[in-house]
Amino acid sequence: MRTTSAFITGAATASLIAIGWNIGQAGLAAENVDTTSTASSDHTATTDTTQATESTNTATDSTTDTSTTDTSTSTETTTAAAGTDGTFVGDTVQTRFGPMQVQVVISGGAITDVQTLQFPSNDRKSVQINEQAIPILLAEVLDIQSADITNISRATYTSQSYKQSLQSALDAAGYTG
Amino acid sequence: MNIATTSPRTRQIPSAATLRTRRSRRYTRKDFLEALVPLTSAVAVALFFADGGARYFGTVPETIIGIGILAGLVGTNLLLIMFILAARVPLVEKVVGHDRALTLHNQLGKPVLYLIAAHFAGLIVGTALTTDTPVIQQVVNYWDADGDMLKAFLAFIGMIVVVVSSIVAARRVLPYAVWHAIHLATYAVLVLSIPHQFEWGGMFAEGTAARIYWAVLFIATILSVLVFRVITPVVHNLRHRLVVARVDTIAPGVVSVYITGRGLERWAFPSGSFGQWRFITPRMLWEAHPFSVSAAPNGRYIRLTVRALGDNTTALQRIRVGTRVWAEGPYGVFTETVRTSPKVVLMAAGIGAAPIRALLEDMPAHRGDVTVFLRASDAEPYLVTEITDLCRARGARLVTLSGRRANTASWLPHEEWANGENITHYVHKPRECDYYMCGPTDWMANVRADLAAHKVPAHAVHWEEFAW
Repeated sequence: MRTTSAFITGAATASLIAIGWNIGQAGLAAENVDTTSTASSDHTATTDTTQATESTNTATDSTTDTSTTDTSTSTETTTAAAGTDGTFVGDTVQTRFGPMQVQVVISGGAITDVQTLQFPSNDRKSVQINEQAIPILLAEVLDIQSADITNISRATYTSQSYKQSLQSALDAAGYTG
Repeated sequence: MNIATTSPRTRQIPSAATLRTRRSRRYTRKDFLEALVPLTSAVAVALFFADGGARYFGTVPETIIGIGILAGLVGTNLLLIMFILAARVPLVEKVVGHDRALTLHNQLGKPVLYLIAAHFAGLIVGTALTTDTPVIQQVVNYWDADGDMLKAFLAFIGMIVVVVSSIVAARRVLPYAVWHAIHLATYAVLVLSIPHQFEWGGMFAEGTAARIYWAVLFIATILSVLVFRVITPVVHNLRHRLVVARVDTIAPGVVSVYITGRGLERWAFPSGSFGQWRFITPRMLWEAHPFSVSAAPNGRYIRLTVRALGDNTTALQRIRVGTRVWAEGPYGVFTETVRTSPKVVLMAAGIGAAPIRALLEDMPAHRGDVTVFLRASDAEPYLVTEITDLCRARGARLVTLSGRRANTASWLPHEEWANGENITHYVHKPRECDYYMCGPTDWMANVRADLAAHKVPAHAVHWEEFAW
């Protein structure tokens, strides 16, 4: 290869990677903003604007934290702080394959249901795995009445993120088992 | 069928300016094709990052996974390039040249294996760390995961076998047919590796640009192999039906084989090109041999001149008239297309005279612009009678160099070398000529060293690597 061609190729190679990187960063930033705005839309119209601004400001460091705190606050209000009974929304947990979020229904001091609000579904494989794994996890939670579930092989990410989101919901409920 | 009646196609003699333009165009195309190796790898990496790949580089275990994925992506890209390089794609054959394409193919083998091994190790170790699973358990988990992952494992094992069977030491031990059979398994490796790439881990997830890009790349690769390695040869051979028409023994152990067929004017093997020839006899059917043509295309016959070197070339000495021939080609850029100046020096040693004779036959040049060197150890150079006649007809100068080898690295016989001779003693203004050489590898290396010592530009020196 001639020297000029080598330089052009080198520059083009570097540019391609740089462009890809920038698109990716933009995408990740947008993802974070998305999560924040979804969370703030749960709030009442009056506080919406300020909440959204605050969340956007903090979006870079701890988006997930901000959004979950917001969300759980809102759920508690809807359930009117009825001790441990009610429906509690868990954290959105980001995995390699997409976000996981569950909500737990507590009635009479027992876990009666866990609803999966969103699960990793970036690709067909993930959807397939999750559709198999989530019912198994749910059965186990109802059985042992805690978030102390064991990992399902082939669905490690699902198991762990499910567990994490569920635990945060239980924490919000002040549920101790 | 008389050689003397052969009338080469009259081609216009190119001017120095035409040749300069041609050279610059060829180099631009070549650079572009070569640039595709790093550029496509960069696209693979860029698509990974564009799809949020940067999120892998948070924690150490995730970083290991991320690096593993990148290794897999670049390795797969290079693997597809290896397929393209071996697919006999006409553009690659014409611009890069058959021998260089295969050399690059060989050079990529090990790096691809290492990258795929890094991919394998990265994902196993990375996932084991994130999930607190022992590494062995993680291997078992993946193996058990499902059909796609099992196929990927088998593809990886297959790839190791193919690369190991292709390293020099193994190739020396393995018969060609065995090596070739193992090599065909790479197609299985490629196909087995596809499902896990598209189904797992959201890599080429539905709706992403990466999925479309990679799908197109895989399809294009598989199609180019199918079209140029299977369909084209089948069509050529069914249409032209090649048959051995005449066999002349031109020297002890050297034969000229004339091959005829239907409509040969539409399947021309240009002077200096070669084909893969398979003679349909029970014994020779299993191996195709690369032989250069020893006559310019004439529409009536293709001629090969072959010296008995191995089992099959020996068997070829007794080949019967009427034997069917299965051919693939033409391949190679040891042809007029790579010429860069009006003056041409053709240099042959031993059986290398075959393609040199063909080039002499129809090289468009003014009288006095072509010089031919024939190097032989002691006896008469091969094809010397035909070449002498052609030189007379074309107004070319013939230099015959006979005698034992020089004791040092010289392409000249001992005596000439001892007199302190070199290229300048035979060629006037050596920097203004093109050199086409064909002969033993070390002899050609010696010629190239002499030419380089006299500042002949590399683009004016042409030779074909037959050592694969």
